[in-house]
Amino acid sequence: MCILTACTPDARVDYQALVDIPQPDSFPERAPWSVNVHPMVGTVALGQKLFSDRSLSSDGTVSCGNCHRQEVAFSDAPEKRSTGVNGRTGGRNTPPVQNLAWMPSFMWDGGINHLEVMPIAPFVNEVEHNISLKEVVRSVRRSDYRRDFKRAFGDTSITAPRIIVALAHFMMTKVSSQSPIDSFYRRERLLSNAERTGRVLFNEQCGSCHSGALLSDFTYKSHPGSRVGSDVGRFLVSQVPSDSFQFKTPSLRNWKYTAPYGHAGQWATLEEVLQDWHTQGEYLTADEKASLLQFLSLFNDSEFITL
Amino acid sequence: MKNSILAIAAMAVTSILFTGCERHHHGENGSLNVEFEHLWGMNQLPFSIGTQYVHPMTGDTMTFTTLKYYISNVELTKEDGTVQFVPNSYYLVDASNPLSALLSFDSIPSGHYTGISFLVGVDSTRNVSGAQTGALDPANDMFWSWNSGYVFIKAEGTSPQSTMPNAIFKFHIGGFQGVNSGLNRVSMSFGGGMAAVQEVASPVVHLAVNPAMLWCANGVCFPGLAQVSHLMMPNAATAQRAKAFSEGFSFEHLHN
Ligand code: HEC
Ligand code: HEC
Ligand SMILES: [Cu+2]
Repeated sequence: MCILTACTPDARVDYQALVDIPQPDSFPERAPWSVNVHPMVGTVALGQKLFSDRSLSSDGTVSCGNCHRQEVAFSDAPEKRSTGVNGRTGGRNTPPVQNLAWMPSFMWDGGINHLEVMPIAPFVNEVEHNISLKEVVRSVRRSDYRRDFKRAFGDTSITAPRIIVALAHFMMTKVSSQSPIDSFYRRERLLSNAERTGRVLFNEQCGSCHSGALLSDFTYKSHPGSRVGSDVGRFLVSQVPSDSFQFKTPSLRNWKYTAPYGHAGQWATLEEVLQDWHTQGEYLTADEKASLLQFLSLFNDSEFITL
Repeated sequence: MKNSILAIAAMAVTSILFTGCERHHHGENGSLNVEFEHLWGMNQLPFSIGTQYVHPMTGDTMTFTTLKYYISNVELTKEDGTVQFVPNSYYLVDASNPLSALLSFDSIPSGHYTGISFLVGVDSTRNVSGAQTGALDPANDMFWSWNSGYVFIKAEGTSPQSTMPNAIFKFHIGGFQGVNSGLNRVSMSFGGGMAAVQEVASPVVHLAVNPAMLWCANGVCFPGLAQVSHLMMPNAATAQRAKAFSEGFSFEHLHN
């Protein structure tokens, strides 16, 4: 039916085709903001190009992909604090970009309510890209993007809303659902005894926040050891006193690749997280720690970091 | 190839038909214009960016570098009391750009209109629905990047009373939810007059806006610039100022 595209050389690629976001049975329902967001072949390709474009920064060295690298599940491991323009460093640890369609809000404090407006923050932040949206648009207009916009949106008009939508579409396609635990959920694999022990222990002690297949209910909580420095977390955006020092519960998926941990990268290893839990919270024997680690290892998806 | 030529031909025919249609129905719709005039204080001094003013109540001296605010969800009241919603009505008024202060509501039904109502700010839906375009394009620099939502009113400038570096003041006022919402609806009549919208006539309604109301409304004043020169996120103080600013809109006159 694509009468007009039939006349162009790219006839075989349907850039308007929807890109499927898989919905594994074990995953919760998608986040409400995502219901009307439909990544397409053209917008995802454009988003991918923008994601790695270093010219979209004040000193021409910083792209989204600098701090969100695929080989470490789109986090910035092993950096505790990421480096933006002119060698400046930010205050928080870079989280992985994965399974965002199920995340109701973004950032450690949940201040951002929709994935499409997410890219604005790193662009304008003076330690990250340090560039206004108007300058982003100007820079994209100067570069070789006209064909990408035509494919993505049907015409060559380059605007800020289109740029952030394309970035959101690209990020939404980053779904990690091929870890060993996913095979278990699909009944393709059994758990070892230690993994089963770890699972019971995890559900008891950790599952109230790190719940479900994504290991998070995305509420704002804290941990023994999560109060570091003066970052008051959720309180910054909610102004509710009881939200002080509360942070969005992170998904622990792909932790093997994303160390260090916590909003400030305050834990170098998972053992350190468990040690704080052990000394400031619930007592854990060495065996219990070992079985927790074995269970959590099931959530690492080696396909996600290579595909 | 043959198909595409046919398709183009078909489109051309359809578009001719459509424009033909429009012409027939034209008599039923017209447009109404609203112009915002910025007038400072009870003495209604003509307000402009870059001019120094003294606040009549707080006594602070100040010079604005920016005054921008959103007007949205416009409703017009007809002589028979019915209300005409202006679809997709989002406007960013910038005191430094006279064109932005002239709002034009096109394709509204002809008739006699007796009043107007609008939000000063942006409805909650548009604050939670991702990338928006036009007046709501985030490149207009009226969107909080780290705490999603629109800045409804942005007032910036300098004042010798300010204790900030370079004696600046910065009020970014907004908030679309909860007790600190900065969203207010302004309603007013055209002073008993009527704007007669017709196919051939586009009346102009003049409304006055008093930026001094950011510091005082209804005889009650908020802290002056020596105490508060920096408001950057929704809280109780911005909610108060948003309310006060919205009370600074008044009907001036209209001409048909
Ligand atoms: C200098 C490093 C850096 C750059 C460049 C960067 N980010 Fe980030 N990103 C971070 C940090 C740090 C956070 C966490 C910030 C916070 O919570 O305050 C983050 C958070 C995010 C999140 C939220 C993830 C979650 O779990 O809540 C997304 C999505 C994201 N970034 C996308 C992007 C995009 C898109 C770009 C490019 C426009 C980008 N980032 C550029 C460091 C960076
Ligand atoms: C009360 C809710 C809650 C419980 C219970 C809980 N966590 Fe957490 N977890 C959080 C929050 C909130 C954070 C973020 C803390 C921060 O950034 O300072 C977090 C962070 C982590 C991290 C760092 C992840 C990353 O990517 O940075 C790990 C690992 C972790 N938790 C493991 C566990 C384990 C194992 C248990 C059980 C022994 C547990 N948590 C129990 C809420 C909880
Ligand atoms: Cu007049």
